[in-house]
Amino acid sequence: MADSSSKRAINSISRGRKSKTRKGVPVVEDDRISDLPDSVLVHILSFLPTKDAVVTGILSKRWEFLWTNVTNLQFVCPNIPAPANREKKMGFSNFVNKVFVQRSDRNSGSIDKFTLVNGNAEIDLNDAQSWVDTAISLGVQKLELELTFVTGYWFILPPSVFTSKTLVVLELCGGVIIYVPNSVCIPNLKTLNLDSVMYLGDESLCKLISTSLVLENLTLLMTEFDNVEKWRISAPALKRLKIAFDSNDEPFPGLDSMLEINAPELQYLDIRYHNSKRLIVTNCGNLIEANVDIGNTEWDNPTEDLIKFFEAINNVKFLSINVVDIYREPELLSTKFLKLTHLTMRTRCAWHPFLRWFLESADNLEVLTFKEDPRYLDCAMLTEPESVPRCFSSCLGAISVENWYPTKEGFEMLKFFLKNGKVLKTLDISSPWKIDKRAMDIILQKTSEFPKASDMCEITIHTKR
Amino acid sequence: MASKGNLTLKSCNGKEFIVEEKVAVMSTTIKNMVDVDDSFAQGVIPIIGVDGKILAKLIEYCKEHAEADEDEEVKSEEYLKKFDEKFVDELNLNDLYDLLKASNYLEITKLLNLLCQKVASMIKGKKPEEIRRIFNIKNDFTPEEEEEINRQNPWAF
Repeated sequence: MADSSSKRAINSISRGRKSKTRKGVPVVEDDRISDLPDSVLVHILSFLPTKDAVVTGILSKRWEFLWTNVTNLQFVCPNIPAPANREKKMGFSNFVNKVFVQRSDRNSGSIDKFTLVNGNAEIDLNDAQSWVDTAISLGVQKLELELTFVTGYWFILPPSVFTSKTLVVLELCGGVIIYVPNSVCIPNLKTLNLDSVMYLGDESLCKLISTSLVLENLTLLMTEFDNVEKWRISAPALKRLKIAFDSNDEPFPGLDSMLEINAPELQYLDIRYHNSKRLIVTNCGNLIEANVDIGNTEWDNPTEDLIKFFEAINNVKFLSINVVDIYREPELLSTKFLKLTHLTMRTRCAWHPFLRWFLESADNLEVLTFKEDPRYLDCAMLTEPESVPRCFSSCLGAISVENWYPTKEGFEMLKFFLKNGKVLKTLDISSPWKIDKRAMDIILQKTSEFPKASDMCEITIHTKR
Repeated sequence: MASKGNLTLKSCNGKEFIVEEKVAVMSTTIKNMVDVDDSFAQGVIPIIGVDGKILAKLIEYCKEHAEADEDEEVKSEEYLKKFDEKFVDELNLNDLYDLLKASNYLEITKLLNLLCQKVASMIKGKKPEEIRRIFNIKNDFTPEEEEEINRQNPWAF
């Protein structure tokens, strides 16, 4: 107590002088901020959560109504610590209501962005619907809702959203139910993020996506509870797609769905999809980068789906793929990956059939990153390729092996890379084990004795510190 | 006289700065002047209401960002972020106001955003009394008026 009052005394002294700095906050004599043009002050307020913007209304007459011109409304409720009475819990909802009322009293125009994150605050679902309706009627371009319902009710997205002419970005997370009417038309929707929401029927999402003719970015996080069996994504203009389960690293057990993707303009694909009945991907001829983590233990017709999947993505330049959960041999695959220059692969063991197959199909590969999954160390090493893949003699310049263990198999693999990599410039090895100086010297000595096809190859070993 | 590809900017207190055109046209206002009237590109562009000290600061900012726009690999986003942080942290309030006004007038959008964000960060989470103290804002409401506003805006949720 005594400490804070003495601090205050120092502050009041320093305020008397000009441009003195107090704890990094400069203090000046005049109120120059209030002389800035309205547009600049409103611009400043637009970087604040609405709660903080509204606070400035009481600073002085100059500031009283400035906040009502802010076009970016962000209502983010901090978690109310328990125990909180009902009045406190409803405080957030009341505040949002009042802001809308005051804004309309001042005849303020359109809204660019509306964000609502209710944390653990109770909100009236009818209120929330009318806020979204109002935002839509005021021409909102970015709508972001992250809702949790402490009362146990879910929020049905109002139909007005699906006919908005202004909406460009729609981000929904949590307790939101999506029911898409037949009249859906959001002509300017470019970005759609749906994170763990629920759908009324398989058709809802399908309709929304296929009617969004300029949709470029789609992020879809699925859960066990989203009420969809068949995911059909047919998006004519989609460039970036991220699709995953909301689960841990382990594949989601017991999931019984199918996923179909048809996106001819897709450039970037990030997919984590396991244990599904079917995965059908077609038509990705423009793909540049893909991050793939799929498993096919439960597929009805997995080999055919797998063949089609690799055919669909075979134009990719950068590919990161986890084949740990693919239990099929790639023998039936005949696709070539001629544009692939960067490959990152995670497998159960060295010389996994998929690694051999990719090296043989990617004639123009420049950079290979190979990672063994440490969970399957007991898995036996499989045989190295019978013939040397073409990329080894023409373009493969950098190889890095992550999760490398100084085992016989580990050394055999390095030996193969060094013996055959004619244009190899760097071989990077990193071990999850701690390797001391003596062991490191032995490893370096051993690898340096391997025959090398490339004189300029540099070998580096990283070890856990 | 500025050589080709360079422009001469003159502050309100007569200081002249020769800068590359790509740096100067980070300002939409200057860009429009040069686009519309070729004589500006040859002669001296007066920057009304901006003194030499502030103009030097503006140019320092624009130089970093113009080069970054040209070649993304030279300056990473991380580097620019650090530069921006340092740039605003070193400003006192008077410079901050002058730069806000100047970047608004000259339409240097990136800088205006940066400065507005800085001011917003000084307001965020603070009570009205603290905000008034930081910016020296005089409360000209009567106690009755203040009470009425408080009644209408229940921001304490």
